[in-house]
Amino acid sequence: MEKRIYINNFERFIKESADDFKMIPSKRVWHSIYNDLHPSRKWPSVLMCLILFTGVLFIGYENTDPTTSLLQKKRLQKIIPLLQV
Amino acid sequence: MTEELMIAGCLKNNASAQEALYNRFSPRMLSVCYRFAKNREDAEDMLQEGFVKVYTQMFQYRNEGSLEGWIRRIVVHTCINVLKKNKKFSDSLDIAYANGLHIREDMIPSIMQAKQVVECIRLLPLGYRTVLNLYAIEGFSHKEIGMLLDIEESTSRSQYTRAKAMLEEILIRKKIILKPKEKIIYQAAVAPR
Repeated sequence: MEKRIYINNFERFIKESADDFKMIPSKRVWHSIYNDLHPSRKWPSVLMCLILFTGVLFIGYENTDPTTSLLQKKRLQKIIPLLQV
Repeated sequence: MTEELMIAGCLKNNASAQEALYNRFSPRMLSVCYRFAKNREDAEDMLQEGFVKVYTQMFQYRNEGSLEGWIRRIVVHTCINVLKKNKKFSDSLDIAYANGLHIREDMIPSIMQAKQVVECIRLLPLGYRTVLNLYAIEGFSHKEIGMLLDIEESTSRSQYTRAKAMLEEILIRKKIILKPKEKIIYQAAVAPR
């Protein structure tokens, strides 16, 4: 249904129409604002990365050279006296 | 949440107060940005930048005038600053720029009136649209617009006159406003009962 309103003020008509118009922003906008205002602490993630990296290095070291491996050396030390007997 | 609580919370960098403020004012502020921006994505980027400024400058709010007006002023200035970084914008402030532009009928969308009017404003060349937005909707004077956009006050006046004529033509063609003889009659849609 349409109703004709007689107004002789162009600016008023434009302003009222523009002010009536609203848009809902996407969730991305609020997330970006939140991240800007509350940056997360970096040290826990850096610490976790260091622990992970050290773990991977240790596992790699243990599984590449059996003669230098600490676990292998301990096993050999246990076995050698038994063989000598 | 009341405005006072929201302001106090924002001053303490409280996330829920910040979100409440955002939820209350972002729909209207996005429509402000949308009138200045090229598309919705650019408008959302302007909105984001504007709201970050609102929160970081909240200590400057003196409770003089409405909070919405204060936020709106920051958002409008943010939009202008973003536009000024774009070279095309300074070219578009040249009066001669839009003389040859013609609006085709198929460019005019057919939707609800408020959105329809906004979409018609967005059909205007960038320079015209910016001056019209600042003068007719945001209430800046031509002197203020001149200072804001680094142009002469007279340039702002002539840009506005041309923008207004072009917008009137679009609105008449879209039958949003009627122009019988001398008098312009504006036609407004009301919600069905």
